[in-house]
Amino acid sequence: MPGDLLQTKLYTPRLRPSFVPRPHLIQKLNQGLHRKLTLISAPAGFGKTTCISEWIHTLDYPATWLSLDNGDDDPRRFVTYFIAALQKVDMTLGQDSEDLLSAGQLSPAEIISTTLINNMLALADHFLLVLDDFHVIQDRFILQFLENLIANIPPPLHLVLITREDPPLPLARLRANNLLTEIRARDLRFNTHDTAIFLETLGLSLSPKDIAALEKKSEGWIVGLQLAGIALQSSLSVQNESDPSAFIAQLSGSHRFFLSYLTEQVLDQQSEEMRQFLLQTAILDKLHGDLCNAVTERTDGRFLLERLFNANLFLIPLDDEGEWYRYHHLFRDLLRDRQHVLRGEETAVLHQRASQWYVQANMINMAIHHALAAQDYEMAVDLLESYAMQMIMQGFVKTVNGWVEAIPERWRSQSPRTNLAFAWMHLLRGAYPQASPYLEQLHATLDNDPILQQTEAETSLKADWLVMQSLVLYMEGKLAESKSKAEHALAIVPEQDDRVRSLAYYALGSVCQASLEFDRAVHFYQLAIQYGRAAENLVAEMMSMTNLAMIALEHGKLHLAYEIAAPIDERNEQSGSLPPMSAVVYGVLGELFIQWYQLDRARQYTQRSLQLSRFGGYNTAVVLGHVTLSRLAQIEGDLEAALEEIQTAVNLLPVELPEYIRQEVTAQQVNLYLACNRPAAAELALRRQGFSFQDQFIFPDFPSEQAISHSLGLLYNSSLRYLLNLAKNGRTPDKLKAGIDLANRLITATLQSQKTLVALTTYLLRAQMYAACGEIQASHSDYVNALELAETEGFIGVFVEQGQPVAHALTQSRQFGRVSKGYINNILAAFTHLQSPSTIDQVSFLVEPLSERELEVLRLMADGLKYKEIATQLFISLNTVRYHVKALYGKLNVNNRTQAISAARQLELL
Amino acid sequence: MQGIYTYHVEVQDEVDEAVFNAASPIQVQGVRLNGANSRLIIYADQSGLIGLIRHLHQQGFVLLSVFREPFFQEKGNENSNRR
Amino acid sequence: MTDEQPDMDQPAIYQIRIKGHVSQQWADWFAGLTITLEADGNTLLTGPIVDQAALHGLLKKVRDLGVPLLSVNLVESSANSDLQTSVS
Repeated sequence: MPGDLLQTKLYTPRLRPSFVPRPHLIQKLNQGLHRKLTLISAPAGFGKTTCISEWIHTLDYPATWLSLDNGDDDPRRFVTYFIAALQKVDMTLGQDSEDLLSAGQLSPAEIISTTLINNMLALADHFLLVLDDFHVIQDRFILQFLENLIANIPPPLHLVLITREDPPLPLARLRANNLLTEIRARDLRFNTHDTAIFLETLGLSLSPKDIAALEKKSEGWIVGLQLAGIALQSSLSVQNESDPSAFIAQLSGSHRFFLSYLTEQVLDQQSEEMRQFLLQTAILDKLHGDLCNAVTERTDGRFLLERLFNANLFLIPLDDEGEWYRYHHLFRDLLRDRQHVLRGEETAVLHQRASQWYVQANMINMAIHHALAAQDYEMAVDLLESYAMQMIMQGFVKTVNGWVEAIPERWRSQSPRTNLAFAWMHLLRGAYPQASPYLEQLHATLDNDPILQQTEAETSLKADWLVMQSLVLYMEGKLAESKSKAEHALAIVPEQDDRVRSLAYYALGSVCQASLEFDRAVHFYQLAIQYGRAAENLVAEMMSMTNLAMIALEHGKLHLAYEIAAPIDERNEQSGSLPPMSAVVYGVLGELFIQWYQLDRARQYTQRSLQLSRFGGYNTAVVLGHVTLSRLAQIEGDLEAALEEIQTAVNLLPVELPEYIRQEVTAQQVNLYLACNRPAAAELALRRQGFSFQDQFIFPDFPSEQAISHSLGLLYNSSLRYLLNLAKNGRTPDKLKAGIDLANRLITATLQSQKTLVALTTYLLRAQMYAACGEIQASHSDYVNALELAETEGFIGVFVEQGQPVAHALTQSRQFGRVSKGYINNILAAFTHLQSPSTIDQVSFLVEPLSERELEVLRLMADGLKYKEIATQLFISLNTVRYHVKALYGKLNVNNRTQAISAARQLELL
Repeated sequence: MQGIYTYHVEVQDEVDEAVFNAASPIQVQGVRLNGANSRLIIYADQSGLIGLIRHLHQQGFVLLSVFREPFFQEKGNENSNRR
Repeated sequence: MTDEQPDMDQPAIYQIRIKGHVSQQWADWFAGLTITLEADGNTLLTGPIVDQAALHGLLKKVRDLGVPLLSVNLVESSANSDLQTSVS
């Protein structure tokens, strides 16, 4: 598996038997435990890691450790390891975030951190999380993630950052508020006393004068001291005549580069085979006996590693089994430098060997890293061809991108799969411009490739490329060409390749939807969902579901839309993750609940949609979200809020947006301005869309008499509403006639294309226009038309949005065709509700009552029992307790114990 | 290295002290405008300095100069070749 | 995506002064820069730096070597011909 999780990264360093105790540091660290964060910031070689591992071993409560490296500056990787580290404390932590990681599209940093914070809030016991070598992290997403975490740190967590430089986090603020404990170089440096103890542990007994001299020369820099100690140790044992004072005196203490000198000394003292082993293995970030054997072509790697470890030669164990080690970073860098100077020509071969070993071990990240270091691009491209698509789909975007950028252009073009992977990634996010360089590359490599006898892999590649072209053509509006590419792809795609098949069906569905062939579109989307699931390709599945839900909604099939959209919401709820891709689904749910007249839910869903689309950068969904909020506010009579929301939407319009968005915005502007008694503003908005009400009613031409888009229907409807408003003032009967004509054509077109949502409004508007013309019978039959069309799906919102004239009309007649009295009463009740909005106290009742078990848990919590104690008392497991706690927090709408208890008291549950 | 010094860090463009400090790893003690450039004064050890420079870099500022005041406060003995 | 913002991608000549004398064999660490040992025991690294990211890469090396940084100066820039050198 390419995302190999190396347990060595999660290993808490153990203490060497001969460490120098640092009681004053431990004391300072202990005193800082009540603060949010401990920062250990000092240059390499100051014993940061040792200091913290010593501290951890003195603490009573659990600590978990994550050693970061350059590869972890990828959001996907970082979060994966971060969660893995948390799970060493408690397996339940972050479990619900794992789905969100494998979704291929990383949720916003805030959502991930909030999910994890909520998980940690449920923990009873404190724990420590150490992030070592944090200076490798520069990625903005990761920093954002940590900034959120630190700002809202859950009480059980104490975070420790070990770094060579102060991280780009708002630490100054924390420092000023005394929320930060700091250990810096000046705290870590060895004083004369520490130096003396340290030299003793090396078996060196030096005179106080020599010790002081060494401390002064090394400036308390631990790694320098250690290297000096080792050099001194071997020089004393090898050459008996050596005088420690002379050795110390010749150390050039005025600068740091005496390390280089010392490294040479230490290397010179090694046997030839050990020296070579050190230099050759320095190319490795992690050392394993077998890996060292592969690189050095020896057989005694493990033995040599043990010897190095016992000789104190900066070898740090990464597990308890003595399998994996690493060199101290500084020592490794010095060795690499020596290797480069002495036998630089050999380095590439060493990297190649390492790469091959890692391929065998199935650790692809490292294999590619070494292939690139060896400049063996053939191998790197081979590996990318096999793994890039999978890794990108899993979200390791930055990592793969980094590799690709390290590969020279001419090699890159030889990796069609990698190019495909990147093009897909951008296309599926709607970022066409970013995809185009990859598309060009693909055209260059794949179009001139008329091989007849193809392997399955080649056919699969070709089908993939056809589907991609189909989607690009679709985006360019070339529907016929798009369709033929997708069909071609389906004709050749190999049996096994469900991912390509699902995307091909998605493309066909999109083409049919754009051609207003809805039945076929639905059919293809269903196939896309089916194969997307089989291939575990969330993207194709989600996009198809979204479009299906959208079609169902516009066609007035509210229950169907709900059946499609609700499971997506449920799945998000369960996994605790909110992929931005699902923004549109929440938009659909918002509209749905306006129609079913559950305004609170409608608002909740709309706000969620807005939040996600903002995060995901989906501007169309942002604008639509504000339009919906404006409508909601208008329904509830808060015209000021409604105006504010629509203004926000209008302000976003200059962003390059499709025309249909402008139509939806204008439609709501017109409806709202009329409600606010600002007809001039409404008229202006319509005039900008090509309408005129001067001498006669002029409106833009129908693109087609057979079919009409949802948004254009809304726009026409809003012009009819404007006409009605004119008529209210007793003028313009001929314009009203023209309006009825437009309504007739609109109803024909919408019914033919099954745009029920628009048709319903048009019926209601025509009913009012007939009434204004005094044609009471025609008006009544339009109400019947609307009610009959609306009853089965339970539409309410569409009536309420028309306002009081419709309510009035509905009370005027006893019978509306075959429409049930109950349904009409429901609609009328909504109007009543509108007149006197009831204010229900949020905590005066529970939507979902607590179960018996949850009540028991809650009572014990109120008694101050810890989760473990509750588990014991109720004979249930700790995880079950957490499960109940989470559930009852949800029902009480609270985030912690204190809130839960106070809410429960308010509800008289306690 | 472990010593705390006063550093002057000059970058192109204007740095708003309050805004900058809100997100900075290191408290900036003062910002002096120098034509179109800003000179930040901090009091830090080297890890703090490098962190600050990186933060400036990530915010898109172009680094013009860094200057460590010769000797301010020193508990270590880095002053072996003090002028 | 979380890529870094583009820098002002103008090559410029920078001078970096570090404490202590760097031996010539360390030239590799500071590839492309001229190493001048100064009489007061410090080392001056001078040379063209392609952009701000490269400058930061260099400062990272200084950080990783654990060598005290005394000053950095932009001495010549194609983008800012009117900039003055700081006094150090």
